[in-house]
Amino acid sequence: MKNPYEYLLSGMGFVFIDLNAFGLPDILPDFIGYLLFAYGIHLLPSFHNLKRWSKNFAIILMIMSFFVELYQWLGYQILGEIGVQFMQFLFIVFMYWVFQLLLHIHNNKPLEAKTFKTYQKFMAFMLCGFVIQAFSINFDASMRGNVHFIGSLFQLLSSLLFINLCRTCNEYFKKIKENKVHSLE
Amino acid sequence: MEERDYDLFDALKKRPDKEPDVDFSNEIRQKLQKTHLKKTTRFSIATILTVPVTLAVLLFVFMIGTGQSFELKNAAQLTTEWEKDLTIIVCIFLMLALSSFILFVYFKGLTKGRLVYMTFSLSFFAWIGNLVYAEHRNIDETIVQPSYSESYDYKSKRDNIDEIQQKQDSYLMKTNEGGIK
Repeated sequence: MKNPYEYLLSGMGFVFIDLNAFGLPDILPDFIGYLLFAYGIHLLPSFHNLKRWSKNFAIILMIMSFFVELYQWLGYQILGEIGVQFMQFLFIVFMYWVFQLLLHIHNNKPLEAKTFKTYQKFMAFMLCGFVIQAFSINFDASMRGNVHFIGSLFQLLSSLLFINLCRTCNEYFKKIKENKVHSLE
Repeated sequence: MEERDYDLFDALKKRPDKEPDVDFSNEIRQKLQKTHLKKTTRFSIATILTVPVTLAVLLFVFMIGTGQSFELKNAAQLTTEWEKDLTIIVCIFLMLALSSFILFVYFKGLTKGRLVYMTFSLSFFAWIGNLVYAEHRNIDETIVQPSYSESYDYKSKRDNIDEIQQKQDSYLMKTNEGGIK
């Protein structure tokens, strides 16, 4: 059985990191990240409706992000910076559903407390970062860059928290797997 | 001294039946209640809000009725200068208020419900509002000046410049003729 948390972790990496140095298009495109998210959610052990919804949401986001990032290859912007920010907002909403699903799966398990704490911090920091970046448009040109940077720092922190949660879940999943193998022997 | 203190502490600990002075606490409670009632009757939010508002309305009605207007040109100039700072202050205030609301909701431990959906909707409306406001102020035009834009009507401007040049030429011609005469 494949580990779903590895896919969630790599999905987060693909979505959050933009490596478009030397005039090249993004090496880690967002739509592959959403595809990994969808596959990771598909592998999660649950039959709740949340799983279906979040998986469909990930597929919709994958298609949308493909069209938003199309300008990197075609040089034609569909919505420009507004589209990127709108995708960011949709990503936060999507992560809310992912966390709902994870909280449902980790219910009454040792990971529950960690998942809940990460959910609290992740959502708060991510939304705060979004709000700060939204308000940074109307600041002076001198302040704009700094305020935008503070917003991105919040979002970086929240993504690091999610990666940390995924790592702990990964270790827990591996332990369960090993125990199962031992019990079979 | 230390031993005595410990002894006293133990003695107090061993007597949970000993209640504090009931009459005294009752008295304090009644006093507090009375002062609270007095405070609410004297300085309620309604009076604090209504008195200056009614005064302002009366002043406005008086101004309209008598047709007078205050000479506040200098103040108006100052306000236009301060307008920029004020918008920044309002922006920062709104941003901090919204961020603190989001932090409050999530650190309270809410996963579902009206408040959680409110954080999403409020942050979305904040984003839309900022975009609309930035569009209204046309901030980008002052920073980025494009060398060519499709919306700029070059032909009509060219015609206008030609007209002005023609007028100037004709005026110069007339003045020259006047000078010769």
